Amino acid sequence: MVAHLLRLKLDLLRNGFRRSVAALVGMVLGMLYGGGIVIGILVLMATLRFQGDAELTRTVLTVGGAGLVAGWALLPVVLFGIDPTLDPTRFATFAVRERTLAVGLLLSALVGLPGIGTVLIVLGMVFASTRSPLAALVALVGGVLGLAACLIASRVVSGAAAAVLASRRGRDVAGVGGLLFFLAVGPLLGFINDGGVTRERLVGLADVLAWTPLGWAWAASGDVLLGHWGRAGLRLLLAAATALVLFLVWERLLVSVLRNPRGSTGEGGGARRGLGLFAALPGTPMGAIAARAGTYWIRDPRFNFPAIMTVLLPAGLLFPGLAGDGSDGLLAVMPLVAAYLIGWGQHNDVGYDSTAFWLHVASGVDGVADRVGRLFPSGVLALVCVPGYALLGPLLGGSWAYFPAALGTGVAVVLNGFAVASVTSAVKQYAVPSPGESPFSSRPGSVGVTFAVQTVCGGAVMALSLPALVLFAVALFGHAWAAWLVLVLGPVLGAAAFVVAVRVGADLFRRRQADLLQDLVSMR
Amino acid sequence: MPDDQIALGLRGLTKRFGDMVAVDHLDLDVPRGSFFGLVGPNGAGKTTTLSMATGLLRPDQGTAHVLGADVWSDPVAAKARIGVLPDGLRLFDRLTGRQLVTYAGLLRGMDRELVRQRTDELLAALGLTDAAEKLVIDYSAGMTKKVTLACALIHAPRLLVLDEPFEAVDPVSARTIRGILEDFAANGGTVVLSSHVMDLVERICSHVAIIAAGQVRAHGTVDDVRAGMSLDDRFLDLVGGQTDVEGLAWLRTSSD
Repeated sequence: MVAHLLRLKLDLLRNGFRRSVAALVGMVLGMLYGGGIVIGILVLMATLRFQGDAELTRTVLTVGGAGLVAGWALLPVVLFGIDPTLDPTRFATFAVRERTLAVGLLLSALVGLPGIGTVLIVLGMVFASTRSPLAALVALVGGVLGLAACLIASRVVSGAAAAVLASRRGRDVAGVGGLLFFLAVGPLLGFINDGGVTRERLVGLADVLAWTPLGWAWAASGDVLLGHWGRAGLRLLLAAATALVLFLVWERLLVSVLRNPRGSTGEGGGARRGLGLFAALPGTPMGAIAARAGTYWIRDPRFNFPAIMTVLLPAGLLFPGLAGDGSDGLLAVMPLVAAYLIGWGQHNDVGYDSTAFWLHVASGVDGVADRVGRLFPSGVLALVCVPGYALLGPLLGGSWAYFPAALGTGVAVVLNGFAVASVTSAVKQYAVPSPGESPFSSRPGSVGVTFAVQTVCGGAVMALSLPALVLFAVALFGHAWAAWLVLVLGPVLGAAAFVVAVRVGADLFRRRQADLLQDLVSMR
Repeated sequence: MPDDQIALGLRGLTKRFGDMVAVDHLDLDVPRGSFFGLVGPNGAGKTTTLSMATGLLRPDQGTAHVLGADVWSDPVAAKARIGVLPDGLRLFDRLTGRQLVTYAGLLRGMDRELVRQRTDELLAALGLTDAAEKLVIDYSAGMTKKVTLACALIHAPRLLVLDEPFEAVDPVSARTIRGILEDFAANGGTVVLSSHVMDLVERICSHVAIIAAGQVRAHGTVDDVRAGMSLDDRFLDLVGGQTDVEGLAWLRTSSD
């Protein structure tokens, strides 16, 4: 059965490539990019193997391994999303033993680029410990336990996150949790900033991590190299216990999903009065599209969760900005980060419509109305966040001298983001979670395309914003004229780019809307 | 047939998906005021044909005209005359029923007050008034078809193109939908619908075309096409295919 699941995952991957060239290109890009990182790490591991400092080896392995587990647990939720091809609910109707299914689904995560890369890295870590046979053995056992922790933690965390976000109260809780997280990141960054990363600090960090569930599995081999046999054994036992407990939690989650397949909505079917935004905004196609987009931002976790993140993320700069002297330039960057995230975030908006986009195509909607209408909710967000963050810095003790530069550049960046989005969302869309799917799911074989489109869009936004960014940098070095110049020039250039891009995007939209719809159909 | 009597004219429509030819140089004329049924086996190309006729799928070759307007070179004029009910595509289902129909109307550039009036009337006629404030995602299959039909009707189109309008619809909703469509056709509108339920097409359609392997095998009034047989038999006759069940003895549990 486990073999069946693995073969199923392989077949799904291969069929994905047969369906679209883009997926293949994405895979190749992913291999180049991820492969480079993996090779770099492997070289580092080989270097560790052939140097004499056991403490250094232990530190690197512990910190790196803990980072690996944390990455597997958090990245799917924060960035990539988890692959839903082997979504447990799809197996609800088959008579498969739940434990077999639990194991098979976990192992299937190894089929794919992140899985293969992680296995290679773990092998490298084992190799780094081969200076004594026993250390190598311990490293191997620890590596397997650590790898298991990676795989299971990613399932458990994203499963729990999806369950939490399915309810309205859960989303509020998640919002507050996200805020606390960023408030915690701030001091951490400040701490690292303050004095830099030194060897003592890393060793101290490794000492702490080695006694947490993140580090147990990875620290054991280092203990052997340093001659602490008892500790090594204890850590391996603890690591095994961690993997076992995580597995039991995952199995519980799986069983509860299999026995109560989730209902169609996840959103209690409470009645809503009247037309909502549709009554408030102008009764034109553009107004209607704006109202629809706005309604979705409120009701659909695929929009409102990223929106919360966008609002909160720049606040992460608050603490390092306030902590040190001379670093209040960081405060002036906050509105820029907010502007970038909001503007750039729109580049795949049509993808989120999924095939419901047919209504626009069948209605013969005008391109300008579609392009501009879609930007309404993020436009409102930008209107609040960009001036808000520009003001927040000086109000909390930053320098008012940066304010005009921060505001002008922020407006430029958000308008350039909208400009890029107006064109790209009429050209190429990548697969995103379908309506009703967990906002943390991703499409098999689509990570590469997603990454490529995101990179191109990000690069385009930065390139368009270059004049404003250069003036911003000049202003940070204390030239007041640049600050005032960018306050005027930034919005003007941004507006010009936006107007041109909407024209171009509208024209592309008129010609390509049917092809865009078929793209969306093929992504289902 | 003179051109001004054709509601929907398809000429040489062709669509390939990779090596598979889904629609193969298909010609079809739908007369104005007709209630036109498109029947064919699964995979015959019905949905592909209707998608190309309504501007949702770009043909590789061929043209589609709606009341004289070319769907692909003059899409705005053509689309203003068509109401579409596609099969297998999503809706903006996080909107309430009332919001969705309003959205469809406003997208067509209609006046807000007119949209409000027609939305109320359509929801009432389709029996959706009680569910108007519920999210479409919470609707049953039949209610979803009905609210999509309301979206297709709101701008008073002259041609309705409906892909499987009766699939997964209970008899009560089916009767309601049928009543509205017959009323629409009786008042000069043209209805094109696809289905694989022969009985239904035989009962409600004035004209029919049988499609198989991407081509029209027979078309005309229902009486012409069935040529004295039942439509079902005539269909099997034209399309071919095996109807006797062979094997599967183990399924007949009484044989134990």
